[in-house]
Amino acid sequence: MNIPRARVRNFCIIAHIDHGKSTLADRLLETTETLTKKQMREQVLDALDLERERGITIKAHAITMYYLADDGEVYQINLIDTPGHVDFSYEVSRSLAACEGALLLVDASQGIEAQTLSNLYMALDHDLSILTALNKIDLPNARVDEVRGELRDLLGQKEEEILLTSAKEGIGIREILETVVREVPPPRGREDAPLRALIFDSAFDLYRGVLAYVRVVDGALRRGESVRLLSTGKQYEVLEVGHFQLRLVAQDALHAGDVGYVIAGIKEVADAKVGDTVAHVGTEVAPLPGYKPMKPMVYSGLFPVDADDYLRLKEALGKLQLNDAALVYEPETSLALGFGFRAGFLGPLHLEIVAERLRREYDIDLIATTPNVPYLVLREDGTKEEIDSPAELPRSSEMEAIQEPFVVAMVITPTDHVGNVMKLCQDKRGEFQEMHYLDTSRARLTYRMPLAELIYDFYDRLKSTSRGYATLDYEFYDYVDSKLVKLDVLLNGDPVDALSIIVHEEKAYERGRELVDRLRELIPRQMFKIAIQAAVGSRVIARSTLSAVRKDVLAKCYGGDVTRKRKLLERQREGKRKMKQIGTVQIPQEAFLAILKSGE
Amino acid sequence: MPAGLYVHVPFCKRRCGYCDFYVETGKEALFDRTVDAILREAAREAGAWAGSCFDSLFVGGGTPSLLGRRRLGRLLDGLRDRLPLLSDAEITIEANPESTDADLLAGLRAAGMNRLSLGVQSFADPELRLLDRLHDAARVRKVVEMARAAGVPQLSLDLIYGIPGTGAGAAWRQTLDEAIALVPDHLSCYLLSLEERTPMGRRAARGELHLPGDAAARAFYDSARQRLEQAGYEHYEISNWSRPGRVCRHNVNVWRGGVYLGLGPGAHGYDGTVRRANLPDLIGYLSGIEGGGIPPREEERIDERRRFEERLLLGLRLREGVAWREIKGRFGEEAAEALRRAAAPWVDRGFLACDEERLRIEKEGWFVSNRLVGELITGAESSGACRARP
Repeated sequence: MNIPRARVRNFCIIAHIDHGKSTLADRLLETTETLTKKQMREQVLDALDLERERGITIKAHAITMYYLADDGEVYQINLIDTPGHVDFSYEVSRSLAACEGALLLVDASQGIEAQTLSNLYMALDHDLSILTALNKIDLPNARVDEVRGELRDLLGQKEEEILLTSAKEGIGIREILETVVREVPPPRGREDAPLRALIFDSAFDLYRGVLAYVRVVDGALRRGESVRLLSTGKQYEVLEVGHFQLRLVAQDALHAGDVGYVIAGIKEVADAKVGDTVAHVGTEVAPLPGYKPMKPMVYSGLFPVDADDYLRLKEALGKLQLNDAALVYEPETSLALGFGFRAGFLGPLHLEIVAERLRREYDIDLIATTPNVPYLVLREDGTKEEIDSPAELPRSSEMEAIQEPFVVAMVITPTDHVGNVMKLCQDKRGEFQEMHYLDTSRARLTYRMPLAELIYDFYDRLKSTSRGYATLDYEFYDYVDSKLVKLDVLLNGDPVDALSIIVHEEKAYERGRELVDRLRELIPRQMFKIAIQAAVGSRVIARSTLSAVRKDVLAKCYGGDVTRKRKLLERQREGKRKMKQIGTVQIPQEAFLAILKSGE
Repeated sequence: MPAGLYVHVPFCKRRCGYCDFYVETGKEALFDRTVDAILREAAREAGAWAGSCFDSLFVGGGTPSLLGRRRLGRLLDGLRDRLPLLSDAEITIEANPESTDADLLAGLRAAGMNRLSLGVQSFADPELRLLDRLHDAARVRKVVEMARAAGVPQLSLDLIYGIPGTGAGAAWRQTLDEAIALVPDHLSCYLLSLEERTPMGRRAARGELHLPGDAAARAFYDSARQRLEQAGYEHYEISNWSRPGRVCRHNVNVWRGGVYLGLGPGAHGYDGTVRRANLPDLIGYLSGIEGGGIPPREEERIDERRRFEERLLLGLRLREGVAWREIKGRFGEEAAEALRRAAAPWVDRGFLACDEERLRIEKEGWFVSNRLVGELITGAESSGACRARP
């Protein structure tokens, strides 16, 4: 179907987790008959099981709909779905860059949340026209008037411009489509200019290689043409272009303003970098603004529980990476955990999702070590080095300074809990920036905070201190000088490398105590007493002693019956198989899991 | 090498609350048939053991004394008729005080019994009641007197420590003192361990009984070692003490990895290659034997690796430990080296002693011997000893 550019609309939906974005997308597809009810699985755009289960979108997706509007014309509406989590905010920003409009969807019972705001600010940054809709108005606890008030104050919108919907009940869906047609401008862009297309996502197809999801900004992209990617300079021949309509629908060309896919024999998603610009070979064009390579902000060691699974883990990571350019990993060897990988992630959720997929889809028993952030070490000779593992931290005598990443964290909380939230933020080394009342009952707090603190139990504590009401969003701020030390855990003097962490000087005692106490609970008593110590350098800051086992079964065994003795031995052997040996001390695998988990 | 002969008599007047062994109660009507069946089993096995000679016979249970003078006499005579029992064999019969009297003792002496193993458990009457024993301390003293009078050459007492109760420490001292005062040749001291399927185990699980903690149990064990040593007893096996030269020959044979024939329901045997156990099933046993066949039983072939395990599992229970020469000879230089490597950290920590001749358990190791030997075996195996098994 050939639709003139004046009747093309590119838009996305931005919403906080659980505010109903995916359900609304489903209804839009249904209403535009992009797919029949029969084809309709709930929340089609969330392709992965895990996404479906968690109700969040991990990767962005896009789909083209044809809509017969009230004015009698057919419009091509490209809906670009965006991931709903801060870990993927760069991907969100690139998706937004592919649109002219954004529908801000707010749960009428919950009101504005932290992610709503951060995504909204990002959309405003991209000069998108903003439509607003309240979702779930059918719920008995919907606060339509109040939330409309919040939006009015926030955006200066008239209340009657705010759409009222219930995606679940199918209320107000056509009104949304009509408003998109009416309010979102058609794509700009010069058809006659040299080609520039923005890659805003990519996926890997086993048979066709990488599918780059693009928004053509200028010019046109046709099958058979030679293109290059500006960030890498690599050249490819375009094998196919087309639109997404659940299936890929090949087209002769993608024109300025179009959203679609390109297949060009790109081998790895890492080569189709999100934010990169596609251009014709032989043309000189400026790259589209905003490109930055994705950089891991959270690292974790991934180790198979069963050493025999090492190769399977390696293969599984390779397969995941095919579809996830943000995932990086390299081999790591741990005294305690054996052979594994140190992997980098966009954020804690990204880590959790990858670990979960390895466990679930690849059936690998996995230990993920306490996540840490990348640090910048300034050496005395003036060199700067990024380290992503506590093991790499040089001795303090060799360092001039260490810097750690700070984020700007935004928390929206009912005013009742402001005191608790502020206390928590301070506890987490947060620096207060500002407080703003959204209305009389809700406030927005802004803090600068070390990312390391944020990924260590901040979210759980935020939820519990606010009875689940506070919401969080954050963005990278900068690397900041920090008094950081490496905290080691020693068992009878032998360091347990997997448990080393980098912490702020002031937190070292607390974290050390915590680790020592936890280990004391988790390590079974052994034949000799075990000194469990937490140390910074050579200074022991916390210690605990696990007394020795003092007896085992010395009951009578009669008449040359050796089977009981052997059963004991078998049990011991079985237990030992799951033990990791640190010096002379045996630590059960579960102890590692429990400790490392507590840090997630 | 001489072999041992073990006969299991699974009968008890009643089951004690802590007992987890195979016993039958209320089966008095089957006593004669059981003795007959054991003798038939002995005759059946005679061929296979024709080349051996038995230098020990141990009639254990259960409560063998419950069979009474006539049946036990018939059993001993019958076994001697059917199997090559040496004339100077050690012949032990386990007995409980309440079912032992002068008449029985005289009869047993006449039948050749030369070692009486008495199930005393405690000299504190409240403890005996708690354990569901049918005798009191006074009865024990009387029976010991009768045994002396009957000229029983060797007397062994079984004792239990770690019995729940507030005065457990004092009771154990009393038990040790009174036991020593009776001048037995041999003492076995076992730690009470309660399996959950026993009545006392269930009471403990419900919190009605409180077993002493690890430290207390360890203290009881240490006090036994100390007191018995002072009284002139040698701690020759983890739970066994004897006057010099009065070790239990039968059990030492088992611990040294020797062969033994087991007869009776629930009895275990080992011929050097196969471990065999009659199932704990009296009726199955009787009908099997009486039908002219074999009783229900399980067998297990002991391969190289198992033999290595068992050699350590059993041999290290003895104070003498295991000899390097034997380990090398039986399992090879490599296995001996692996064992030596695995032992080294434990030697350094005072759990094991190792010299040119032997490897044995030391001070610290005795009370955690199961675990220690387990560590040693798994350590030696991962270091390359006897890995032949798939």
